Amino acid sequence: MKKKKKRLKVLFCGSFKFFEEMEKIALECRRLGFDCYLPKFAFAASTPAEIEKIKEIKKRDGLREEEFAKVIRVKERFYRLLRECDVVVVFDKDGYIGLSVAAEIGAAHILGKPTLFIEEPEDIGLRALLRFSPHFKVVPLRRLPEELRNLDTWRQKK
Amino acid sequence: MKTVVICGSRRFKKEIREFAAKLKKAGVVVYEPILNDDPKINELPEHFKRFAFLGLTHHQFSFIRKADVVYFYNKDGYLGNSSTLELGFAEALGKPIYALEEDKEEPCRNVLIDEVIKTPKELMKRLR
Repeated sequence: MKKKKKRLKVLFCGSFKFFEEMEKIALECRRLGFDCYLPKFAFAASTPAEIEKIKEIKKRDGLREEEFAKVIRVKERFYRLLRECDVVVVFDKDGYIGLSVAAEIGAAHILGKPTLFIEEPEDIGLRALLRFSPHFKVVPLRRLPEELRNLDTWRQKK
Repeated sequence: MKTVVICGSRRFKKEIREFAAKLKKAGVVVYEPILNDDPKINELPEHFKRFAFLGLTHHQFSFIRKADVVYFYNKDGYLGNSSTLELGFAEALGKPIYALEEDKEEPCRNVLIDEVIKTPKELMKRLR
């Protein structure tokens, strides 16, 4: 019996402010037959003004118990996906990497995940790591589908 | 006794050195960060600067691998980009993660902290 081909699992990480753009490219990649996972944001249902207010309150008082539990669930899902995925895409438009994404890059590094950055990160430490890590690479957004196809072909041959 | 690696920003160099000294005095094996504050690093030619930063990053990564537990000295909740990278690194390795303070700025980082521990004495109890 012919073995069913496993689809390439692609995990996107990036700031909430790039969510719509991430969604757009993920849709394009899904059409090419890849399984794409976007980050979930605990406060995604809130408006920008509400998010600012939440940020202000949480900085002063910390999160409420139910909010904290929600963030834990979101993070657990993300780190599980990070372990399971075939490739990570860091959506670092203009080189911007937020704090939570920096932690995810550290995890991707030790897990040896192929990690594609859409631009050179602004931070010099991250830039140095990217330059010399065999599984880290900068791939402009327009070339991302092609790069994923190449990775998929290489993975199938392995 | 378990070993510990301390991570944190160079802006807390003095406090980190004092914290580590107290642990060492009690016989704990402590992997301390380099915490380079020599501004000459920024005057290096670009390719050498990259090697310097890479060296600092990998040096701390190797300490995290070696240590049994990881301690983040995040005074006022502050962790820079490099320390945050180390936080994710430690999480993926499944190391116990302790920190000086709760991270009120970034809940996504805060959930990676297993416990807030304020003093070397308190930390030593977890290392026994």
